[in-house]
Amino acid sequence: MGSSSEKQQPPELLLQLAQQLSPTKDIVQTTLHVDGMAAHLLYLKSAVDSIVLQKTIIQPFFQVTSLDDYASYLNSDPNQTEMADEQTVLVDLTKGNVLVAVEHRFFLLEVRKVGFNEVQQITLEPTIHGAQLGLSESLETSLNVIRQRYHKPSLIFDTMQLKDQSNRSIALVYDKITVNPRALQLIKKRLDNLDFPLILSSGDLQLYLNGTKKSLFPACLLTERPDRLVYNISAGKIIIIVDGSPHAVIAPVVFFDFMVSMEDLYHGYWISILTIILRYAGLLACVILPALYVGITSYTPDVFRTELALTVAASRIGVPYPSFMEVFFMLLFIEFLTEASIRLPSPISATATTVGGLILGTAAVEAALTSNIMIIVVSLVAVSTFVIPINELGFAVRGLRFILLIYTTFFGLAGLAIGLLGIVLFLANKESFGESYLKFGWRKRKKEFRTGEG
Amino acid sequence: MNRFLYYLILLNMVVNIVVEVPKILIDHSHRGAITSMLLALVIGVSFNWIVIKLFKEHPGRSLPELLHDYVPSWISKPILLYFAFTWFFAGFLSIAAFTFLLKRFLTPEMSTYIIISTFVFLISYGILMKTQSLLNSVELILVLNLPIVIFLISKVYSDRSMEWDYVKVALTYSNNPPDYSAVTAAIYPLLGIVNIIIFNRHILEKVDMRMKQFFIILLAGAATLFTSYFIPLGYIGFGVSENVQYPWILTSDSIRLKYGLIERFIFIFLLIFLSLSFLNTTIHWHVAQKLLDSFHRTKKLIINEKDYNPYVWIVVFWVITFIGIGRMTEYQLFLYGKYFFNQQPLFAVVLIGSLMLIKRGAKKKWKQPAESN
Repeated sequence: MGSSSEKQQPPELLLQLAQQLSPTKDIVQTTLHVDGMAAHLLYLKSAVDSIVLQKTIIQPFFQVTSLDDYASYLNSDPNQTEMADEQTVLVDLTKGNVLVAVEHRFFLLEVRKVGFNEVQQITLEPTIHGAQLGLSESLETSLNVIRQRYHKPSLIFDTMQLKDQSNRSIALVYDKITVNPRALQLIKKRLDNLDFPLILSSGDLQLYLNGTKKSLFPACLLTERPDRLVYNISAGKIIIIVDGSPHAVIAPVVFFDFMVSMEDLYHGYWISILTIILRYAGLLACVILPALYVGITSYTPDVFRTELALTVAASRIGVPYPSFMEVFFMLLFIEFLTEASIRLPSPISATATTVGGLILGTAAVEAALTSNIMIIVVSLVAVSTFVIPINELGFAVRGLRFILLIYTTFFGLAGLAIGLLGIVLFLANKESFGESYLKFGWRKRKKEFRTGEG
Repeated sequence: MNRFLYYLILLNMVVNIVVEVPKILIDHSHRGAITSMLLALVIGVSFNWIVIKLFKEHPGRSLPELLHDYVPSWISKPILLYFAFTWFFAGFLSIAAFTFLLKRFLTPEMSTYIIISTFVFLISYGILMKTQSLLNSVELILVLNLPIVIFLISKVYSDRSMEWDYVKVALTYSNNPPDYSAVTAAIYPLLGIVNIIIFNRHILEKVDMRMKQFFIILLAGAATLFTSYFIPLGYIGFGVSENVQYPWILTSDSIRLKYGLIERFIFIFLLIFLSLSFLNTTIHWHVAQKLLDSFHRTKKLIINEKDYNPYVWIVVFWVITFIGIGRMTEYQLFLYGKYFFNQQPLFAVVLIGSLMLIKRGAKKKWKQPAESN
């Protein structure tokens, strides 16, 4: 009898761990016993799926005849997690593992409950054709989504744990045949050296991976489209998925990746060529138009043909300040409007857009605070910014046009031309995980070019 | 031939259509401009041939590295300094030319110093760039701009105000003996290849020139020289063109784009050639800075693992440019340009000579491998 009461006592380790987890209220430490056999469980109720727990761990206990049988049953469970030191076990418990103690043996079994494992509707990059459902907030589901679209034995999932306070799991996904080995090495190194207290989602992980802290242009692409992920995996890129974030990070990327919409692949040849041209025209328009307005009205009005020059000049009659102030204020205004309509709930944002865009715009012209043409330019700029398919590039371009505006304000039309070249130089000099950011992707490029040296 | 070499050659050709070269050639229109151009074409293309053949033996290595390995430093240091100066001065001349152009035609009220700063800040960024990124951006900018250049040139050829009779008149002077200054000026557009001395480090494949490439360069060079000399004559008139300071700009201003948003041809022309010239200057100064870096660098300026040596050279470049161009007149610009062109044979001799020295040094080392270690 004495030996059986000893068995009833939970082992020392279990008590210690429970001690360390307390005083949280969702901790469960219980003992199962029948016929003198006993097993001790320790888990966090909020992290564990109770139905699965019941089925896979509790019920079998009452069906086996000896503790040895039960131990070997647990031991052969594929969901078993390796046990390392005490701290890791604690973290594992918070992730949804159940610690089972049978006599003096311990088993750590994963019985995670994920409440948000539904695949989400695509909202950021909608397309007419193509996938309508994106990734999920649960890592397993997201990996499942990718695996189900890319049936190849060379697809590798490399899961690891972030070293920050949240201890979140992340997964690197790549095709081991096509992957760029240098970039993979670099990303792994950066992930190892990551030194940030708290990483919330793939959005900020992407920023920390960037290498340089301050950068206008994104060095990774954030997406929620599974077809884009598969497309990029097959092209040899590396995907990083953070548990709890429905967006995946694609790296390394080049500038042109940001100008691709998945829709391009689903349309006919000429139609996608035309949309691509449209998109680049939009990009060009939203970068140079404000600067061009300043360059032409304030520096060299004779560039335009006479009629046009007169129209522009006439519409500026009565505007009481120089053109760069006008452009600057109107751009700022349109930025306010965009920012407000992003942050507001959609019913209110419609009001904000109407009041801001229509009423204020008209009133500003009537009050002769700005010219008609300026309103056209600003609306064109605002609309063409939204032509850029990936949001992050859109944000970068919004910043970029202010820089170009300032350069043109100082140096005139020549400044505009040189400034544009400067942007090209800047982008060409930027790197995303060892890849040049802006370059033509001709074939045979690697061979004729020495890569990776200064 | 590697396409980056084509880019370097082509860029230099296109850029030099515009400013000093046609002016000097037109000045010599009664004194053997045509024969000079023919002679220059032969010399220039053969020079390309020689340089590429000599570099073919050292794939992936730049001239400073080769000099360091195979030539004693008392010879190589002066050579590097001379080359650096040449490259710096080439860039300096383009900046000066475009500063004057912008002041005359685009923004007459702007101060010279502000116009210079339009260029130098971004050029300095280009100097600090990685060489490979610079090559990438050369490719991008050139490929995007070349269609426009071709449009502009074809417009110039096909416009109705072009009088081919003047060209015929000019052709009657083809029996004059060539003139030294005209020859050197006409060679300059063909010398884009010399940038290989730095860029060869990053161009690994197909550094070679065969008959086909030889003829492509010959044809492109001939077209460049023909265009830059005869077209202004056709617009402005033979015998009067000498009095014009900027024959090509005047030519471009004689053309009207009837249905264009921009009616005056000159603005597109100026801005496109301005961008290409900016690019060429960036290349020149990048090369100059790299040469200076291998000429002299101190460890004192490496602070926190960041090398501040290039910044020193950039400041030197800035000071010389601002003071030099600020005090220059247009007449002096053409005079210095002429001096610069006239010293080119010396440059060619030094370049080929140093490559020969390297060849000899390499052979010697090959024979005595023990000593080299």
